[in-house]
Amino acid sequence: MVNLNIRHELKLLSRNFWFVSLSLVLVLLCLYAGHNGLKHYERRTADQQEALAAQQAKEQLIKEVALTLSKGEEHPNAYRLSPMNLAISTGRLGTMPATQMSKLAIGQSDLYTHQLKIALNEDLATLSFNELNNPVQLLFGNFDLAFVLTYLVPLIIIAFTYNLRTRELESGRLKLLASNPIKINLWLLQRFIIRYFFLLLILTAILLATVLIARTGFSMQLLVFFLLTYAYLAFWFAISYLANLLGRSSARNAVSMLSLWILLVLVVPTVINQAANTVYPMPSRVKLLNEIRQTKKELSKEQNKVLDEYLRNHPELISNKGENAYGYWQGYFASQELTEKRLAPLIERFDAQLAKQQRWVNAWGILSPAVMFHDGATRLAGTSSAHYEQFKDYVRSFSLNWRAHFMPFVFKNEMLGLQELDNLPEFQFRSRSRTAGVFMNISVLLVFSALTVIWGLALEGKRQLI
Amino acid sequence: MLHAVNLTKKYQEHLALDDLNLSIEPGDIYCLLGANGAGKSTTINLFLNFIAPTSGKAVIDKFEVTENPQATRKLIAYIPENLVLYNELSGLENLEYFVGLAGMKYHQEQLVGFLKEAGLQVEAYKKRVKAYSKGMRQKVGVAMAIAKRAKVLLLDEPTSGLDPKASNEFSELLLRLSKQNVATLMATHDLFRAKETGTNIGIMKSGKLVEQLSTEEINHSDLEKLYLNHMSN
Repeated sequence: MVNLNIRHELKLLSRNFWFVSLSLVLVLLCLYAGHNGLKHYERRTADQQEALAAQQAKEQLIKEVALTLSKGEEHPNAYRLSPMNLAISTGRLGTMPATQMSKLAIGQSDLYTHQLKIALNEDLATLSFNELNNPVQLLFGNFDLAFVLTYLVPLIIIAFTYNLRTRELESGRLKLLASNPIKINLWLLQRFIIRYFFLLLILTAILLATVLIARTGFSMQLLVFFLLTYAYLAFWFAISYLANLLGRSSARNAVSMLSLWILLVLVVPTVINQAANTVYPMPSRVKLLNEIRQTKKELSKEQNKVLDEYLRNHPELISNKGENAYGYWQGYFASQELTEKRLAPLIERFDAQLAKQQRWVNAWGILSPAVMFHDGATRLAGTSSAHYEQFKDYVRSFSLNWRAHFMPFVFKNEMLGLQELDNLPEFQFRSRSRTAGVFMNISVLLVFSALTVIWGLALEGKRQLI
Repeated sequence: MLHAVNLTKKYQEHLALDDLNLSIEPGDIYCLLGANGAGKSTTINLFLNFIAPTSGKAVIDKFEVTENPQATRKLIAYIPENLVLYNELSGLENLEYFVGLAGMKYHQEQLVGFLKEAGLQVEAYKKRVKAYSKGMRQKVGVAMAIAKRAKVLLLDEPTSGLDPKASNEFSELLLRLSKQNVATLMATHDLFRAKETGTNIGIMKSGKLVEQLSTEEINHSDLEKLYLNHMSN
């Protein structure tokens, strides 16, 4: 019967004007989404390259100054070798390079920053990263391939499957079909599986074309992305199968399926986010900034005292040039460390609450297949919130290194030479692979699909299907 | 071949079929007459196992339908009042699909042969059924029965809405199948066609079989009088 049904479905679908038209629309949407992803990737990469080129030009100029001075000659820009200039004005550029896969799922890369100037005067607490994002906001926003797959493909699945049984029932053909020695729920399941594989083949071809257009290249992540997509499609097919078995009319099925789509794709992610805010309310960001300002203000009034205390804690930084060796910046950096120490509990509370919210969203995201799919896609694309958290940690950690490296020069007021310039810490972000986590999302989607199908099969004999 | 034994179907308080007993042997064409809601379609649905009986049993070729639905469906061909086929497919493709569902496999030439035997015009074989008349669709239904080698034909008002010529052609097909020992149960409103085609007639009223007779026992006008008499009581 499988071969018979495959030929039958192929004939029906190829002669169905709407199926052919919507398949063409899907092709165009995917190609356009791929093009958008490519443009976004190119823009992001170009921005980073431009910033890196400017940074390199600046560093090259400083090296030229150092080279001139090393020859015993004078240079009008000799001040550029001062630790203040190098550590603050020049700084380092922390970048999070775009992955090839980010062309398919832009994710949060247009919400979060992926390049930051790391300088000595930056407050680690106020690095410009966003707070928890509304999953709906994360799902919307970019017309990339992940958007097409998350939102539009389920609608196409609904359009082509919502009435597979009820259409037969309403036309009276179901009785003619059921007068043959077949089980209706198995026959229907076969039709669903065949349509699933048709769409899967079409989508695979479209995705491959998109991958070629976006010049993504083939990788393990791409393969897992395909598997994730297939699992997501399976979920919607399984739900539609069950709706077909439970529903008595096509109109009601269509309404039920669309309601389910709204619930699972729009409502559940919003509710999860709102619940996270209610269960784990965030301390006020304004309060945090006010605290930082207030602490800084207080400490700046007692800068000499702060500096003394700081030097007591860091005797290795004491200059042999006497007390006059210290000016504004030394006091500033001393108070910076003290500010961080004082604000640490507040920032930790802020971070802990944010982490709890994120954990909540991750845990309950299981209720929405759209969240599961999008989360998986952005993990593979290196544009998930986890990736940006990792980038933030890298930046924080590098900032501390940068500060530790420069403090001796700052306090001893020593100019840097060619050798010191060569030994400056380098920022290099290595993104951790999160592919393994995506298998969990795939498994959850497949388990949901399997349970739904089993439920449908169990209806045989318990429900009037004809 | 086809037996209803104390067959009863009750929907809550409504008795759709009340203690039906009938037997149809190979070659018989049993016509069930009755007004709408008399229980004719319920009887056919019970033999198809589309609904479960409240009590009693429906038996086809020694198989009780509720216990062996798959086995009995292999023996059955069913033609409803409106034979809805797949409009996107031709008559030939529809035949191939429905016969395939019954587990039968034929070459194109054999399928063409069945359509020819059912009386469908040659030029219609490969035309999409969207353009078919009701009579042409019913002929595809008969071709299905022939191809399935059905031993039992269950017909639910198959000639309703057919023009006299198409209706006559349909009757001839039934008679031909009857000669091949196919047992037929046909629900119909058409007294004339029942008398012309059937071997036996049963009149149903409010779920009860109120009259059973052989078509040889009665002429057209007496059948009409008998029917109207039962309906007016």
